[in-house]
Amino acid sequence: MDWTRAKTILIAALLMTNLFLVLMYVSDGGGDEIGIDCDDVVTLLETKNIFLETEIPGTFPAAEVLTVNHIEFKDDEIAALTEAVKAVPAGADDREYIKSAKEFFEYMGLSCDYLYCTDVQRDGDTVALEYKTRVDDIDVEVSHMVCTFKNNKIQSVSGNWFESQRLSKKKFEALPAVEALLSFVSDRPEQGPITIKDIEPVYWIGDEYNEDVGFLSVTALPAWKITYNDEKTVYIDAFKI
Amino acid sequence: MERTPRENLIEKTKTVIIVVLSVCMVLLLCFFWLNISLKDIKSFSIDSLTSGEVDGGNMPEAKALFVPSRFAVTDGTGGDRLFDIGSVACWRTEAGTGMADLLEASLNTKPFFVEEITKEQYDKILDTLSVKAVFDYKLRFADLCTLVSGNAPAEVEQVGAIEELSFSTASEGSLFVKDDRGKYYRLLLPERGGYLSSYIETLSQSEKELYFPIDSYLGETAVNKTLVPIELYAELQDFKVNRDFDAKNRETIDGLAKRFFSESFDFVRKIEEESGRTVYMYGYGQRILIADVDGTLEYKKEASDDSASVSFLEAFKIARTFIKAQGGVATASGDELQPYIKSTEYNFDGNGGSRFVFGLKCGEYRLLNDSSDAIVIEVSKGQVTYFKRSFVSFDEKSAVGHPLEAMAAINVIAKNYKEIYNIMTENVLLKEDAAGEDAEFEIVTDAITEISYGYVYGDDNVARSAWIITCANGGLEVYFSLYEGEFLSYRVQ
Repeated sequence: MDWTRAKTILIAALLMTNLFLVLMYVSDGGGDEIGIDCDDVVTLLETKNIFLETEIPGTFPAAEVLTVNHIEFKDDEIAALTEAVKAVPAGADDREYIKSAKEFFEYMGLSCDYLYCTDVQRDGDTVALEYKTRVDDIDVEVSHMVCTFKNNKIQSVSGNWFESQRLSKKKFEALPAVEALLSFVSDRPEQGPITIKDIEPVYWIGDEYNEDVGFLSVTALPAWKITYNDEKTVYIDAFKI
Repeated sequence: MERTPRENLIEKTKTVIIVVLSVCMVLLLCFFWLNISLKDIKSFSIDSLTSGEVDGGNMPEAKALFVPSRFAVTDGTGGDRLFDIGSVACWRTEAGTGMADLLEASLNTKPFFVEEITKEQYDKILDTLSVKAVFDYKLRFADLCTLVSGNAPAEVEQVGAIEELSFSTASEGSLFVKDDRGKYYRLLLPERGGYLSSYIETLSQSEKELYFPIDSYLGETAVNKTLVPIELYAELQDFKVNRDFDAKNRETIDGLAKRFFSESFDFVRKIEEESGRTVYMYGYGQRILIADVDGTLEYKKEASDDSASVSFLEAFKIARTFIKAQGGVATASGDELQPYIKSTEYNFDGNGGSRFVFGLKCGEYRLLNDSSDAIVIEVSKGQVTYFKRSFVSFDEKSAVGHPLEAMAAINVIAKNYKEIYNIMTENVLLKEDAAGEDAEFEIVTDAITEISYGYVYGDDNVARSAWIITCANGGLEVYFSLYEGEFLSYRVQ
């Protein structure tokens, strides 16, 4: 038997087989799951008396789990620090208030990278700035803070503030919003018609925070926040295990 | 025809290529068959190999744990000598002469014979040279038979949970059983237990301290057969214990927690509280683990409704596997501990669930905590729904000193009966109040169900040698220093 020729033929056959298998594997999408069509989900929701008043987002915009530290505001420390900050000029606009508040937060030792002002409320000589913790454009639920100015000077800082500590090294496989909606349907929170007003990605620390216990740090897991009917909310884990 | 070196090299290269292509083909086929996606390949990392993987720890098997709590040997002239299972060859021997060996022989006899006898017959036959294997925890006789011989004949189903398994030289062809329903039984042996007779005769003449029923020290009207030693020389001494882990050591705690959540640990919500306690929560409270500042780990899991309940022994297997997966009976620092079964509960949840409570031993003595047990584990519908472990590490050598005379237990009771009475009153363990000091003393001595000695530790992490006085059917344990008889602490079970 001519082994030299036999080996050459075998190599050629194996090469062709491997090439064929690679092509098949890639064209098959690498074994990935079949995507769910958004239109089908909308139709399904409507048959279940659930109506969408918002767009369905795509994938979750992050792939890490977040750890946050709880920051306790001590009134006496805040009172002492207010003296160190200059008053905002009379007739100042929102930007100047925000700038002054930021300066104050730096005095407090807060990391301003994750502070996001969501609203400025004015009532006579009182101006209240509302803040949320936002990491990579994702809000940390239920972290919030109100910085109140009275007569152009900071009067108080209050709220339940969680500051970003670190993102996990390990990345998770995100659950698309459309699958979160299917989960919402299966665990329907209430009977009767439901109108979904918003679907947004959040880092959620859960309902377990208890002021009496006091947290030092807590894991904020990625979740889809679904707002329906009169501002009711449901959180659905945005990761697959 | 001879090949040139160049042709040889080409042939070798072809062989290598064939091998490589063949391996590639096999791998590609595996991807198809096992439906491995590109994402799986991308997310593959060393982390995924190591996370959740734990070395199984040591945990004794059921046969080694479901054994008598102690042996009481009497020569029939009054007084018992008590022995720990580790110090005598009364249960299992290589020659097949122990009580478990005899029970196995009896169960394998065709036809198997068991008959009910009266209390009087039982007491009379054991009032000679005899040995009682006493069980402090609940174990159905049928389950003991299954453990001893692999099966339980239908006839033993009538027997409740075993309290005593006895052998008497007055009837060497029988074994006797006392159950928790107050019934007594005789089992026939295929041959006489002559060797056991000789062995217990030796034990009955040993130097071990003698125990007498407590009512022999009390008034004529008293009826309490709890054994108490007349005098005791003990080598027990106080020693320091270290809690399982330091709550501030986050790395150790994370390592322990990973064992509970395995592959899903990355998606567990971790809450570090100001008190130092760390809470791990999976899902919406479906699984919770609390690593407390006192070095205890407490795990709770919701039982799924669709699972069926399992038998007591099957539940033990599940519990054992779980304990092994959490590192076995060893501290976080790797110190191996010696467990024993402290109590058990059949059908604790009304759904056929089983509860197991384990204690720790230091040598042959119990090492008790005045507020918690070493391991509590509950199995419901075939799943572990509750687990709590409270381990300590210690140097066993430092627990033994020179023999000293302990304060006589009866004097400890006489000195502290008011303390015990007050504790029972505070914890609503009395049906009615006593009228006068004599009545208080009588109530306390009537309520005592066990007197033993061992070690007790509390928040100060010092294990103290102690008298352990059990009252109210096991509902209360009161601890007194062994040598001085001073009150240490108590525990309501």
